[in-house]
Amino acid sequence: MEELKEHTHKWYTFGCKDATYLTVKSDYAKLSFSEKAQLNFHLMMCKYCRFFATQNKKISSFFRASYDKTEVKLSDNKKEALNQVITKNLKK
Amino acid sequence: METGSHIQDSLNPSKWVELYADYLYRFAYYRVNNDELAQDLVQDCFLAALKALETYKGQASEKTWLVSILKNKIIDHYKKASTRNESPLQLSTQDAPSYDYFFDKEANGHWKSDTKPKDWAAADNNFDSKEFYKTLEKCLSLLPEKWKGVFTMSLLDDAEAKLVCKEFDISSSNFWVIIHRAKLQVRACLEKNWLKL
Repeated sequence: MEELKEHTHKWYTFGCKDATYLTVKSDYAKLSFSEKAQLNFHLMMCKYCRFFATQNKKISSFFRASYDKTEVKLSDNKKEALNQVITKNLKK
Repeated sequence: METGSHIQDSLNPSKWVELYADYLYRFAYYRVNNDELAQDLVQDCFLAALKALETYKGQASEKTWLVSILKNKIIDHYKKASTRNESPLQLSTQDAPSYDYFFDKEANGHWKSDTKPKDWAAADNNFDSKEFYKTLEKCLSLLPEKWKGVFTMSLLDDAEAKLVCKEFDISSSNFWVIIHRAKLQVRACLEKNWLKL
């Protein structure tokens, strides 16, 4: 497996990679003051990262919606089979 | 069963399928995104529970207890998948596009010209259709197995990011890197296969 390196950034090379990283991170953690400032400044200037930020939220909501929508159920056959497995293993 | 009447009172394996099978299956399905695998995991869960009947202390409800066993089975699955790397349907980690695929190292990590996000609002997109959700599922399935687990679970349990890290034995900065790269990949996949911009 390719090694996952920790993401680090410096203010003088702050680019789209850093901005999208912080966008994603902000869904799960509070950004520091300087992270927030750098991200907001970048977003002000970069429309591609603004697109990414909107789409990032959208994608999460798509997945959540897809879970709510699909009716996922076991077939009666499978349930019957499961019941047999349980009965068989209970007797042991 | 000789082990005490309270166990028989609180655990009733012959009712498990009727009471919990659908719930457990749904739980597993949303975490592995695979019908057959989810069924196997439910069965594994019941078998493990039968073996562990005596250890049930009655502190948790029967359902909670079964869910916790299922959770362990799911995590085992992802752990195995990430070391074996043998699920034929998935791309291996090597095939996941690296950061360099999206960002130009030379230009301070700016988007490469062909990976720049486009304006989705400009497209005639039908985000509510069945076909869209199929595409979404397809894009998710292209992620490396372990990322898929981390990504899916992080979406399901909003506040449980920390727990996911612990379960997968990853640091929180690696967690954000995985989610970041997963998001980049799924986003690009959707734009290419659905938006057709």
